[in-house]
Amino acid sequence: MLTTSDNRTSKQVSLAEAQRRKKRRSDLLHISVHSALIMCCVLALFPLLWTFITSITPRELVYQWPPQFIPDNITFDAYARALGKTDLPRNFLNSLLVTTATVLGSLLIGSMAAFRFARGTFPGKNIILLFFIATIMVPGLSNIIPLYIIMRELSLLNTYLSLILVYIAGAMPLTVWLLKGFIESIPKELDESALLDGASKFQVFRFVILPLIGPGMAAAAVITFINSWNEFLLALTFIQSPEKRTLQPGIQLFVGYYESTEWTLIAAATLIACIPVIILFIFLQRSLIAGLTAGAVKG
Amino acid sequence: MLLLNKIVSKPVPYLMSVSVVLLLIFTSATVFGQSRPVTLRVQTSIDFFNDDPNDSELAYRAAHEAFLAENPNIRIEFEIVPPFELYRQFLVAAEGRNAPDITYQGAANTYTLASSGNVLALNDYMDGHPFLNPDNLQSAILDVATVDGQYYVIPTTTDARVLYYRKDLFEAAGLDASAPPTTRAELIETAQSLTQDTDGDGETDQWGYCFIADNTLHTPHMWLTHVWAAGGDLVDADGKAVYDSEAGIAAAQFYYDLVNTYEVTPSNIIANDYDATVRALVSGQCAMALLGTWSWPVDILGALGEENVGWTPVPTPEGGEAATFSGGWSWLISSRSDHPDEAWAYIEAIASEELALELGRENISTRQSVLSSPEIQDTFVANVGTYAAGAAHGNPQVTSTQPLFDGLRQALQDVIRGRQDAQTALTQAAETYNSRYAR
Amino acid sequence: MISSQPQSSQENVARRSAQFKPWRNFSEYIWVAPAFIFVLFFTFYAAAYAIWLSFYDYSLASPVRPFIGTENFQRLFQDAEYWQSLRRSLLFVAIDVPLTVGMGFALALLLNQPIRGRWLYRSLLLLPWVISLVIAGYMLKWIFAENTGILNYLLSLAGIAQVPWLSSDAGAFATVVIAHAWRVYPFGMVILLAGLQGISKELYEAAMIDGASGRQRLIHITMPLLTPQFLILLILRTLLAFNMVDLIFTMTGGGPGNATSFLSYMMYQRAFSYLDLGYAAAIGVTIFAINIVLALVYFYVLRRNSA
Repeated sequence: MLTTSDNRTSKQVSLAEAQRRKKRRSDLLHISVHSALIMCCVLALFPLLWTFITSITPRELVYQWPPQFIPDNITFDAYARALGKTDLPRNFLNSLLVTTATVLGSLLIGSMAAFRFARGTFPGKNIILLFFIATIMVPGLSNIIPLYIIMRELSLLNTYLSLILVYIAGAMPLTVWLLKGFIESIPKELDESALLDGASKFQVFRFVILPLIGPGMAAAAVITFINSWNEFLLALTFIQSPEKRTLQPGIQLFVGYYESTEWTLIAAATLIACIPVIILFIFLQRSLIAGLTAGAVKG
Repeated sequence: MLLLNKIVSKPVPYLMSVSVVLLLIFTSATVFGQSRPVTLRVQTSIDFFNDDPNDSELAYRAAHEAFLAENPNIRIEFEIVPPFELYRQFLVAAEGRNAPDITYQGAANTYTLASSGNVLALNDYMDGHPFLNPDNLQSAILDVATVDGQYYVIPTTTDARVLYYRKDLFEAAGLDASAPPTTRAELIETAQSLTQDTDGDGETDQWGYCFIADNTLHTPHMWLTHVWAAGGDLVDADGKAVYDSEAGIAAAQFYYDLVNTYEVTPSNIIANDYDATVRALVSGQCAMALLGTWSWPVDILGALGEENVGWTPVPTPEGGEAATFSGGWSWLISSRSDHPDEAWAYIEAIASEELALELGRENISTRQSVLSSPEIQDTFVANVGTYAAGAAHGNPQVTSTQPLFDGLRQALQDVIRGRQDAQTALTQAAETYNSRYAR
Repeated sequence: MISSQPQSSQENVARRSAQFKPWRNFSEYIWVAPAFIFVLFFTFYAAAYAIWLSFYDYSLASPVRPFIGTENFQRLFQDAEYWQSLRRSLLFVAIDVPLTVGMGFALALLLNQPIRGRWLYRSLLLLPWVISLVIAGYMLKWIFAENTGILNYLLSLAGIAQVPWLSSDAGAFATVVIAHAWRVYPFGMVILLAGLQGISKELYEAAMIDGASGRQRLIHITMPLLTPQFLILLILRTLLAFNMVDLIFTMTGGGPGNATSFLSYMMYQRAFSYLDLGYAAAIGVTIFAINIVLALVYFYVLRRNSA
């Protein structure tokens, strides 16, 4: 990009020289940035790499000393067992169902609330908003018993819905905060002109706001997805039947108590559990950054 | 879209109709929920129906199916819970008035479950039962199963702590692999010869003796074997902690000496969990280790082979008596179950003599008639079971086992690390427990 | 929340009409109601229940649960273990929050450089975020295990003697800090990277023409403009670090001794191991109060600095 083909006059020569120097400096910068990033990647990925190596080690060699980076007999037996001989596939589908419903539900009601928090004026708006934010500060563990009792009263114990409802509630503060910031970054004139044209609030929401907040929705979706996908304690407490069990409690069943822990199986299950989130990252990464760019700047 | 638009502009009728619909859904759910034949909810960590069953799971499955065939009006719903979550899961459900009919719990929790009124006394069912009668239980198991003269649990299998030793490493150190240590003095002496720096880098890489002193329940369980052997105990008749009995202080001092005076035990045992200790024995980093009987068939014998590893009773102090700790698992019936008779019938089916014999091949049975049955004679389980029947003690009968054990393991870790002497650490811990949690 | 733009006439019209038409105003609540009801029912109600519990001697092991006023709190303030756990928690937050936000910021700056393969680096660096903290705890314990873990093996290859990762107080604390930072830095990285990408290039170009050095640009342009991101990150990270329990649960069990028994872990243990729910709720109430105070402090300090 910085090449100059023509350097006839001395002035141009010095210019080219300066550019070369600049290029060399930027090359140096690039190399150092690359090497720093590569180092960080190695450190960040090492635990996952070791998890992978554990997962392809034959079961009886997991405890061998010294450990091997490339096991003598690489085997995918742990994956075969996790997928074929345990409830993991069913747990996986259950988690997918619960998490998808959570994400959709939280986006729907979160964006509705965020729309009016960003645009509306009504008494108590700031207090309600503060109330939303304050719920993040409640320590999560103390709510297990009251939530269990609520779910029993609603006859929702042992249903997917119990988890979905609680996860949506948990996702609300961040979703509303993020989307509110994002909607505020949309010029007000857009929906005002639509209102003047006789559009209702719902039409403004549906045809002006929703199409523009895609990246903000993507960012909120990713964060909600990760949090619900990885939730353990409530999932274990509310869901009783094995056929409705979600992924995290399912993986816990591999952790031994009186038999030694099946490390290869846990490692394989862990990596299988990561797949949907990785796929989500691949598709939504650009939107995630863009959504946070516009949304997060409103403090 | 138009419809939604209308809804948003007319919120009151909308909200009313939604609440009516929701009300209908909930009422219908409750009505339909009650109009079924008897359904028993069974909470356990054993998944009878997993896709990769072992012999005992197959036996469970057969018994379960036979029961269903005989009782077509009874449905069984399983709730499979990881073993270390069973207790919390049951208590939360009981607190929410939604306890399962049958649950499966560790022996440590019997007293609390019984004294809090959450499980049913089973005397009427058990007395005079041909197989499940209390007289057929090992004495240590019966002690734990009885609370104020009532029986609350139907124990299945139990376990014991024993000393495992590496025969090959004994021979390599010039020791007689057929004469493992039986007393503390012998244990120390043997461990000293086995503690070696095999690669000559100045660091020990083969330790003579390992035990568990991490933040799990294994720590108090193992320490108790030494205390009982010297005639001491964990709590007195009033439920007060007596960690600082003469036997208790001696046992804690023994721990300190193993790590600091004789240097035959690595100091990081305070962080190494059960799994890591099994691994250390198998990899040869520990030549002897105090571990549970459940690890023998697969993890220890299976990994090392008969020629390389053996077991022996827990070494005792000079003049002491044989002692080990037995835990184990039991079936219990919730005190709020609507169908206690059906629940008992189901437990009869899955805790039958036939099934107990099958389970008794791999695990120590709690039933005397199984232990003495000719089918399992001269197996590891029979030998170790006979040892346990004579030496075992069970969990203390206090409401708050967890704080009782927590204070103790903290004190022991302080002693091992030389932060406090045994007397001070144990006395303080006992005072803290007694002032707050003792019943 | 505070809009700096001059209010348009249409907005004034809308405002006035809102004041005169209560029905219009009421419909605003309909939009907010579903979200509000969810939070009220499933978060706020549970929190209120916990506060109520903290005034009772409420044990799962006992059917009798008398009202005892503030006795739980009195006991709490006399409990040496409570103060130790609180100190540990505050220390953990004081190390963990700057560390994770700092790591996130450093990586965001690197990823914001105009280099090739940014997308790949970004994807790879996001990966620790996908694993659940509970499971991460198991895998990391497996890696940090002292005699048998891969980390000490690698260090021994490099000639470094066995590090007591989990068996010394400082080691276990550091292990938890490292493990937690590893798992949570991507969130900060993403937020700050997004913030960086929102800063207009022209600002930097203008500063470069004025001869500002790289560091000056960082301190005088980048950091002030990222104040909102830093604020939200600090608040969230502090709350989450304070409430973190999963990793302790699976990695150290609070040990060795009580070296990694933070306030949140103590609360869990009191509730579900000791079954002492009232006491645990009292701990929870104090955690809630501390969270609010910390959030207000951040808010106040950063708002004032940016103004």
